[in-house]
Amino acid sequence: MRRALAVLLLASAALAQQEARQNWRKTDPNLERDAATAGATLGARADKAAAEAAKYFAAQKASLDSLAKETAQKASAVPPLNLRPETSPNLDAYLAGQTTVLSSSIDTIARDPDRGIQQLRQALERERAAVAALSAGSKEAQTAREAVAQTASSAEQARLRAVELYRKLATSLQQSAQLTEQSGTAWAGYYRSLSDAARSVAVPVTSSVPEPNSPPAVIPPAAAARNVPPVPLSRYVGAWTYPTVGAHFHGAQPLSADLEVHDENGRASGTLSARFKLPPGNTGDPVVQFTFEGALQSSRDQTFAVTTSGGAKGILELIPGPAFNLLEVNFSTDEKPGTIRQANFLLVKK
Amino acid sequence: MACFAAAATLRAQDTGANSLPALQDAAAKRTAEWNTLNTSLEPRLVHFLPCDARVRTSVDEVAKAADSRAVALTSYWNMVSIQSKAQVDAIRGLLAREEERGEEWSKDKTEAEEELAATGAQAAALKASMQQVPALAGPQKSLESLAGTDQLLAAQAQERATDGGLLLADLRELLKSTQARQSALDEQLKSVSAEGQRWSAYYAARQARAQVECFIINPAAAAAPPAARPAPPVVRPLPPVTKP
Repeated sequence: MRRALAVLLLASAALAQQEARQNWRKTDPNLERDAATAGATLGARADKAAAEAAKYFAAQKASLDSLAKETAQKASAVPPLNLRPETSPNLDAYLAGQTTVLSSSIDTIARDPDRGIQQLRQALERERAAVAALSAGSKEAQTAREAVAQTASSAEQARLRAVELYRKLATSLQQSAQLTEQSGTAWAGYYRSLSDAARSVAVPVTSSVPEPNSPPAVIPPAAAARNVPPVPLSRYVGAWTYPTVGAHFHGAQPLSADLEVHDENGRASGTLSARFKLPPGNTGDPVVQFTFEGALQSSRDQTFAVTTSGGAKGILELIPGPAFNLLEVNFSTDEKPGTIRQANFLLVKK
Repeated sequence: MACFAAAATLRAQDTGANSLPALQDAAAKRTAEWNTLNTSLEPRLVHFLPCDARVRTSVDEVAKAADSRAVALTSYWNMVSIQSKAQVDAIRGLLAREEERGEEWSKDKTEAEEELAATGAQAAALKASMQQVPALAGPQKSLESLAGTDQLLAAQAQERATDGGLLLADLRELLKSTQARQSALDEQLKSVSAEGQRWSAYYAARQARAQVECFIINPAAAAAPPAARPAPPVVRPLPPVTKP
């Protein structure tokens, strides 16, 4: 019953590990292929893949640890059977001596006709027969002892080979578990670096953007009129909100976010109001509110200067999402420490 | 699990009066006592007249020592047999587990190879992207390092698959050899019992000869009923030890 339960537990752990592996591998098979073209959206995709990878490596490590422990236990499941050498005395000489004495006595009285002496002769012959049986039995006993010693030695050698293999397997499983843990950490680092590298790709389009502390560049209406984004304005303009299901973010996790974007004569303006989940122990302000304004640019990604409700400056990137009703928001401000100063997430059109 | 329970039984029997070392010590002690009495029996008897009561008591004393030795040896070999059987059961349990596990080692190996291939494919895809975005060189390097780790994990899984096969063969061989040992132990127990009976028969014959010798000298004294010698203890296998 317990054995069946243990087998069931191991099987279910293996199943969970396989499922986690499949989930990870299916999450975003084109992530690397799209790395050069996905831009800032790659961050959210890499985060999702990283989360699934973390689940897989945790499950795989748990599975290997459990198997290593069980295998190590098996190595001691068959303790040695210690047989000390037999200490029976060698009675061959004694028995041979007895036989000689008895035979001699029998021979001496063999021809004596006295009834009593003949009874003695018969008693001596019975005694000699008993000694002969002991001599014969002694050889059988020796054979039996040798068989025990030989088979016990073979069994012990086979036991040691099995124990050694169990120990080797347990050590290998432990090493794999450690390697898996290291690999999990390395994969997390990889996804982070992939996301960072992809984000750096988006930077060139913001090269014309003023530094957070600099006042936004004012483009004359006539000049602004020449800057027409390559996608419809509806990809930026309108009311947007943070979805409650299927949300994507990178960095600080939004709990809610609302963005309004208006356009007038080639210029855009609007407001962003968001609340973020703070890391454990952080008692800072989870709310971010700012207004933005600026000329629409001829690039796909639009960048605007930001002024927060606390008066801090910053920049906001609006990037049309992978679907028509999705808009990626990327902002950074020079707000005081302890507040949310940068974030990256996808919004859905209201 | 049965194999671990059997191991616990084996260890529990390794302590106390019923432990193998204690039983072996007792057997060695009884053997030494009997051997001393047995080898000195005839030299002592030559000093006694045929109807001397010490003749009978001396033979009885050696016969009792032989019985005690037979009991001690039987107890020891019984315990060896019990532990050997527990070991056979533990090995059967392990073999059943490893036969179930056999395919899993190969499956682990296949999965590790698939992981290696998948990471390789990711690295190839990222290399293509890197042509357009040089900033991806860092992640590309990380992926190559991860592929190296996957290769190591795959090699370990491969070795475990090989060792798993060897282990199965070794456990089968171990089961066979412990079963052979068990048969030898059964024969040894029979041999110890037979030896005890042969010594009893010898001492009975020796006692009978002493009685005839007395009868020849003094028929009246020989007719007196000899002090009844208690029957030798019946040697039975020990019950299995169920607690430490």
